[in-house]
Amino acid sequence: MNFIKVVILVFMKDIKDELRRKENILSSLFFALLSLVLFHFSVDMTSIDLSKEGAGLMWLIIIFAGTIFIQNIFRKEEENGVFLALLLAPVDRAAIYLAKFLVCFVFLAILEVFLFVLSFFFFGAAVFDSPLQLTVVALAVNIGFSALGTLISSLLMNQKGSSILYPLLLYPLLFPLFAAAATLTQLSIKSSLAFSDPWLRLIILFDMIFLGTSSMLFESVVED
Amino acid sequence: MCFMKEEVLVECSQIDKFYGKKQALKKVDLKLFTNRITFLMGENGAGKSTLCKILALLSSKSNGKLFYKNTEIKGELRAEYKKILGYLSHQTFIYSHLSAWENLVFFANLYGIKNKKEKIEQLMDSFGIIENKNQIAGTFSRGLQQRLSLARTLLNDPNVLLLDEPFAGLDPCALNNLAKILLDQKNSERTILIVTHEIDDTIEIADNFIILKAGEKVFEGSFYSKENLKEVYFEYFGGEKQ
Repeated sequence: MNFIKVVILVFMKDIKDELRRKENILSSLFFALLSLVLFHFSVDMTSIDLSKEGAGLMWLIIIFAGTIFIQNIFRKEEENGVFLALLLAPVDRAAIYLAKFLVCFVFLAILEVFLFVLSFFFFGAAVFDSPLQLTVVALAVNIGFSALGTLISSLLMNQKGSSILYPLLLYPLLFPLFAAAATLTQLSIKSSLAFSDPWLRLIILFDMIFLGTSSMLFESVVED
Repeated sequence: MCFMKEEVLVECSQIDKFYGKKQALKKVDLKLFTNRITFLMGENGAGKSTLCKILALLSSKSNGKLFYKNTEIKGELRAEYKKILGYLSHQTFIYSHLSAWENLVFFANLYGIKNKKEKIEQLMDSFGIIENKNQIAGTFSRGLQQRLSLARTLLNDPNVLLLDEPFAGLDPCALNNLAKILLDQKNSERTILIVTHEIDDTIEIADNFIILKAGEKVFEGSFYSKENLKEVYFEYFGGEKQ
């Protein structure tokens, strides 16, 4: 079967499945909302300044809330052993990985819109001052986060203690991505982000390495 | 009297499987014939499921070769072989948040099945789940889930059926129904391998038995009765006949 068709098929099935089970989406969004409110009161900010420490806090919320969703992207396939049925199908397994990656990518985009809109309305964050630059940064980060998060989720499928191991494996690897994300967010709010910025190049390199290698490694990861 | 033609469809030769230093399978040879139901038996940890997964290409072998119609399964033949393969286990392989219909349509699309609507309706009808087609699969009883799972397995008209503990957790009625379905399938020119460790009435549908012990094939042949099988089985595993 055509590679793209398989990606679309698995992607659509996953979206339908996620919308019906709700638990991953709701717990992630609820965590994001709660964190935003808690940060607001604990830091005692009258407004979130994304050009300063607010950027780091925002990405901290995204990394944790995103993890809640992404770490379950393959774990839900353990239910009824249905992942084996996917592997049995005469399709390119990289297409299955890519579909899962896309689901995570789309969810992170929704999570970011949710967070940015909330922080704008409730805390006056200047997210709409330079929306294009902020969107570029967010999308570039989403690619790397989804690529790596999806691969590690597949690696830890059927493993005991996977919920403990998942952040231990993921967060150290994500560190350069989120350090770059916080810096680039500060720059984009000040409208001083250049597309030749070394931090942006770092994110693009990160995306290329992890999306490329993850699609190639996926076949061997799920073999046994 | 009518004799059905039997030919070797799937064959594995000198299969070894290592998990780290532990050897799960030791030089196992096996032939699966058309129109035959073969029971693969042995105690827990004997390597039955491992062998079944290797035959389904779900697990890699450490050494040895797999053949389909006398041609080694590698390269492009892997995809061809997958198209004629059906695999079922005690796990149902169904999405519990999708309806029965949505589950079957999803897998039919993955296999690129033409006329999928008619095919799915026909399978649901023959397994008695057509009235539950819009019901969410997670709300099905165990017996209904097993029927849906079997319908999913037969979507692609597989020539080879690999069933890993398919009778586990079924009540006597559902077990009897499944045994009847498998007999029907056998008579439709299919090759069937059933992995089990239970010696119960279902063994009556078997044409051939293979017994594994600690990863080695120790017996291959047929039996004329359940008692006869028990005698041989307990000879290998040192238990007592009941």
